[in-house]
Amino acid sequence: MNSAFNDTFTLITGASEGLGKALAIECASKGMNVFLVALPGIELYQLASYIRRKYKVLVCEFETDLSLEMNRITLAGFIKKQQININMLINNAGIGGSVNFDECAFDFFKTQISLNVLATVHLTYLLLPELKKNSRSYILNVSSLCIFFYLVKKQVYGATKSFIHFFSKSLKKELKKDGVTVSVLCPGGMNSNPSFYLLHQMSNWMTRSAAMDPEEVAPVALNGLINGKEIIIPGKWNRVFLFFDKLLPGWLKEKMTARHIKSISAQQIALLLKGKPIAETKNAA
Amino acid sequence: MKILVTGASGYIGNKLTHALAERGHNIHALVRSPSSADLLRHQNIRVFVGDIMDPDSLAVAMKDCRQVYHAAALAKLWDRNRNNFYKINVGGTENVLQAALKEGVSKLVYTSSCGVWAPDEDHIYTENDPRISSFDSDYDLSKYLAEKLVREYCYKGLFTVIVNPPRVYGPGLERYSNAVNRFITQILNKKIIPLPWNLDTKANYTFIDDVINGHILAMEKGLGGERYILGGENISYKKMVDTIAAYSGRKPVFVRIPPAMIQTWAWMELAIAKLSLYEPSFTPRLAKRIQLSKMVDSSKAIRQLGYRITAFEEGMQTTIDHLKSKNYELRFQ
Repeated sequence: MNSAFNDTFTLITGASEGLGKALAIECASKGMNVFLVALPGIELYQLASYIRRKYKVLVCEFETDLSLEMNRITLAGFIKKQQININMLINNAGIGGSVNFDECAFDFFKTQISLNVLATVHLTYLLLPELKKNSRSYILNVSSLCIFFYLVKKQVYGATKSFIHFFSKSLKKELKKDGVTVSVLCPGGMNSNPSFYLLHQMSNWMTRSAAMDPEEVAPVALNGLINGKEIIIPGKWNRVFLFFDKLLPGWLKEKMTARHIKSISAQQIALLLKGKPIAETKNAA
Repeated sequence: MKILVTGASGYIGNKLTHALAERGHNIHALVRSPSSADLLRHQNIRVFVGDIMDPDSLAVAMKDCRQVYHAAALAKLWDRNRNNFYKINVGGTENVLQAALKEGVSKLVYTSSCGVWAPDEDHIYTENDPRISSFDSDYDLSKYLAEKLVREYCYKGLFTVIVNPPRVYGPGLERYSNAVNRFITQILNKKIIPLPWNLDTKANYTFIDDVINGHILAMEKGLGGERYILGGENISYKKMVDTIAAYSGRKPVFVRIPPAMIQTWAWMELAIAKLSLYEPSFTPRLAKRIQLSKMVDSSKAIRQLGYRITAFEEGMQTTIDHLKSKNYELRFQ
């Protein structure tokens, strides 16, 4: 492993769970040093110690809530002060979920926009001077496949991800001259945590087979980024959906997307994770 | 001292109940079926018919108990209703924890599993390791969620310790969860044994008596909110079948099955199970898992609890003698 001589770091936000965790492991397995940012909690430290022991690379862990502006400034200040050389930035932290617009507290949308949109833009803005110091550097932003489909219950989430998509594509052209490669990842449904795993398992056959594990998505994402792909869509099923989306008539698509996760709500999954069966909660409701 | 054991008619729970009774404790054994009383005949064991899903029966069984061993679980590969895994293993565990907190139990040991970690070819797991890849089984996920709950209750004031046994073998009741004994029985009774293609695949096998001692040691010395791997040796399939063949004196023909064929076979079993009342002996996720290594390290339990590992050969010898002496027949086919 040449990491001892290699002083560059890959910064990954939202690294303690799901895709962020899988990307951290994928990067480390290729001998890259990782700078992991996540919400406070034991999982981040467990992951950091696992990576250190298994892959013998350098690992920094930084606990913070990136939805707050002050924390992003502190993080960038820390990197600058400690002279940590970042040559890859992976803006992965985000809040997902399917909710009805009028049933959700406004604060949820506020946090969602702060984290998905503002944190990505702000962190990119703050760390771009650091990235430019390297002759070649990379930015990976995580959007979503749902930006092509306009699914129900994804209003704000889908809009934040569309923002990321536009932002990345435009920025890519702008930063070409500086040797900074920008890619945008558009994954479909992922089993990123226990509730998503259950949600996909209990959905229809199509959703179930298209759902990917984060550890399947991570290598595709990293390869795409290093090869300079503009937009990365992992999974053959997802590419099939996207292809058919262009061919199918509107009414049929309408029908298909309406069936998407129709029977299970996030609330029911939460109950199930606490050991309460779905059937009973349905009756109770 | 009065001690409650849940799952007292299970493979681990039953042995644990008897081991504790032998030490002179008064054991409250919680079982679902009155017929299980036959398995618990001992002057120090009092059988309580109840269910972890029924908080009232739990409260009755837990009355005046100072310690609780929670070993009850739905320990299966597959269930027609996947909700049952969460209902019983997570919801049932919460019932036990709640009752214990209410009763003022001084310490609770929870029997988890090494299924909370994912297979990994070249990493030896310790207690501090995170879950690396996604869950692919409802059982594993339910155990992971239950562990989270058990740790949460530690903050609520209940002294809890978690133990994680890997694949357990050795003399005991024949139960569905007892896969290694079932495999040995097959070698004793059958002429052709299918094996995975890669015989270097390693897993951890632990002798039942060690697991029982580990539970009791965790109760005596375990630190609050901590987990302890109660493992044995990390052994490859090759070493395992060689050892079993050597000690049993049988020489069946071992046939290595290519991965694609194992997978197809498993999907077929699952398809049949979905269409009939038949319970699959084999599922696609088990097929995937038996072809991947998972190694664990028990040094934390050795260091902090004084846990001891029986040598694999010694444990296997005892197990094979036991299975042979019982004139054991294939009961799982």
